[in-house]
Amino acid sequence: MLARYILAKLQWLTLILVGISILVFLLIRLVPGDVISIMLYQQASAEKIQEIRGLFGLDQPLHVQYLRWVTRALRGDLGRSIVTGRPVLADIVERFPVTLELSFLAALIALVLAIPFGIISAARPGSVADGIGNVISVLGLGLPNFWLATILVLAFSVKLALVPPIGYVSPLDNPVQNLRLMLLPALSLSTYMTATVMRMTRSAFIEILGQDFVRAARAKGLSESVVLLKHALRNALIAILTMSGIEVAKLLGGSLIIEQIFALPGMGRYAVEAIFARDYPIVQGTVLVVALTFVLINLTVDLLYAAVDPRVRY
Amino acid sequence: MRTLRFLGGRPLAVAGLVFIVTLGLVALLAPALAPHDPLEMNVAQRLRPPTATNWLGTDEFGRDILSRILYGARISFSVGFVSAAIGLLLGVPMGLLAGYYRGAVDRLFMALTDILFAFPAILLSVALVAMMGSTLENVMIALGVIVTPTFARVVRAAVLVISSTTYVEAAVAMGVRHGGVMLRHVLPNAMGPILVQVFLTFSYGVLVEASLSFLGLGNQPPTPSWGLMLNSAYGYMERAPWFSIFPGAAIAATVVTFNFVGDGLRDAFDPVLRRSGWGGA
Repeated sequence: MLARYILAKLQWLTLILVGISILVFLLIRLVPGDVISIMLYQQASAEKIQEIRGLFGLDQPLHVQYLRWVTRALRGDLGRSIVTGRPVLADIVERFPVTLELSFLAALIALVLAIPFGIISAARPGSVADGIGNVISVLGLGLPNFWLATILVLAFSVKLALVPPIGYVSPLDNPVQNLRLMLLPALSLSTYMTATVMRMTRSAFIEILGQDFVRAARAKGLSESVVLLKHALRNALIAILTMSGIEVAKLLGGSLIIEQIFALPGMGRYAVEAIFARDYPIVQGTVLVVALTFVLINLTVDLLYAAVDPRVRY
Repeated sequence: MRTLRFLGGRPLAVAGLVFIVTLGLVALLAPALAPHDPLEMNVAQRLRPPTATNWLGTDEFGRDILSRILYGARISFSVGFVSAAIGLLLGVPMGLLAGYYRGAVDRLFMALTDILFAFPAILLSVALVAMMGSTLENVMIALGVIVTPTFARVVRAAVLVISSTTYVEAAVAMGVRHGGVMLRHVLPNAMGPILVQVFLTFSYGVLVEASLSFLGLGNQPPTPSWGLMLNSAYGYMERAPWFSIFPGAAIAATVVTFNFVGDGLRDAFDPVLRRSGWGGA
C-alpha cells in the first residue's frame, strides 16, 4: 500500500517538475524586448547580437530551446553568469550552505518557541500565557520580517552592542562568531514560522485534549504534565511536523530578503544581485534550485507523514 | 446574521474594521490630510527628528515623513485591493469549476496550482517583477500569479463540501442547470471562506509590495511607498531611527489589522474555533 502511495506521489511529482521547468524556462521570455541586447546593455552591434543569439540557440523554435535547456539542466549545466562567466551551478553550490544554515537556525528558534507556547496556550485557554501566545502569533504573521530585522539590528547591535553588526564568518573558520552573526538574521526570519507552528500546535492540542483517551489518562490519575507531554504531544506531533516541513520550505524564500539586509553571502543575495545586474541565467538557476528544494522538502514531509501515521489513507 | 453578532461580541475585531475604514479614508483623502507635499525636498531640514512642523520627522531629502506615509497608504491600498480583486476574478471561478465538476478539470487546475506552489511566493514575485520590469503594474501582475492559486484552493475546498450536500443534489435533480446550481446554490454558501480570503489576500498584497519595494523592485523613487521608504531608511538607521520606525509601523499595523479581521471572520464561520478562541492554521 505504501509503495503504491509513493508511486502515485512520484508520478504527480514528475508532472509538477516538468511544469516547474517549463515555467522557469519561460521566465526569461518575460523580459520585454530582446534579452541579448538588454544583457549586453545595447553596446553590441547587430551582427554580434545575431552571433550570440545563435550561440545560445535563441534562433531555434521554442520547444527545441526548451528541450536543449532541460537536458543541459538535468546534466547539471545551468548556464554561465553573463557578468562573471562562472558556471551558475558552481556558484549556487558555494552559496547554498549559507542559506541552509540560516533556514535551519530559524526553524530551530521557531520550534523551540512555538511548541511549548502552543501547548501552554492550549492547556490553559484564557490564561496570561495564552494571551502572550496570541500576541506573538498575530505579530509574527503581520510584522514584515525585513522591518523587524532593521529594528533588531538597531536595538541589539547599534544601541546595546550585544552582537556584532552585519557580516558573515564561515562556521568552519570560527563557529562562535558565525553563530553570533547568524543570531539576528535567524531570529528575524523565524517569526512567521513561529506564529504558524504555534497556532497549529495550539489547535491540534485543543482537539486532542477533548478526546476520550486523554480523559482516560486523566481519570487514571496521571499528572497533567504526563498527559500533555506523553499522551497528547505524541499525537499532535505529526500535525506539527507536517506544518513545520511546509514552513521550513517557505523560509528559503524569506531568506532572500534577510540575506540582503545582513549581507549574508547566500543564494538569496546571489539572486538579488543578479537581478540588478540583469544576469538572467543566475536568476533562472536560483529560482529552479529553490523550487526543487521546496518540492523535495514537501515530498519528504508527505512520505514521512504516510510512514509514521498509520491513519493516513493511501 | 450570526456572524455579524459574533463580530459584535468581539470589540477588537470591530476596532480592526474601524481601523481599516479609517485607513481607506486616509488613502482616499491623502492630498487633503497631508500637512506637506510628499515630494517637496528641503535639504536644510534633512533627517530631522519629529517636531511640531514635521510630526514624524523628515527623510534624507528633508521630505515630511508623515505626508509620505499618508500618500503611501494609497499605493498599499491599491495593491491590496488589486490582489484581492484578481484573486476573486480568477481564483473563485477556478475553484468553483474544479470543486463542482471534479475530474479532469479539477486535476488540471490542481496541477497548475501545485506547480505555482512549488515556488516560494516572495521568490516567484521577485523573479517575475525582475524579468518583466520594475513597475507597480508588474508588481500587481506578479501578485495575481501568487494569490490566485491560494484563492482557488480555498474556494475548491469549500465547493467540494457544498456540492455533496443534499440541497445541491436536490437542485440538480429538479433540473436546474449546472451554471444555475453553481451560481445560486453553491457560490453563496462559499461566501464565508471567500470573504476571509479577501482580507488575508489584501494584507498579503500589502506585505509583498512592501517587500519588493524594500528590495528596490516595483515602485521607483521618489514615489512615496512604504517599502521604498524603508529601503532608503536602512542606510540611515543609526542617525535617523524614526525614518525606519514609522513606515515600518504603518506596514505592520495594516497587515496585522487585516489578518486580525480575517481571523475573526474565520473563527466566526468555524463552529469549532468559535468556542476555543484564536488558533487554526
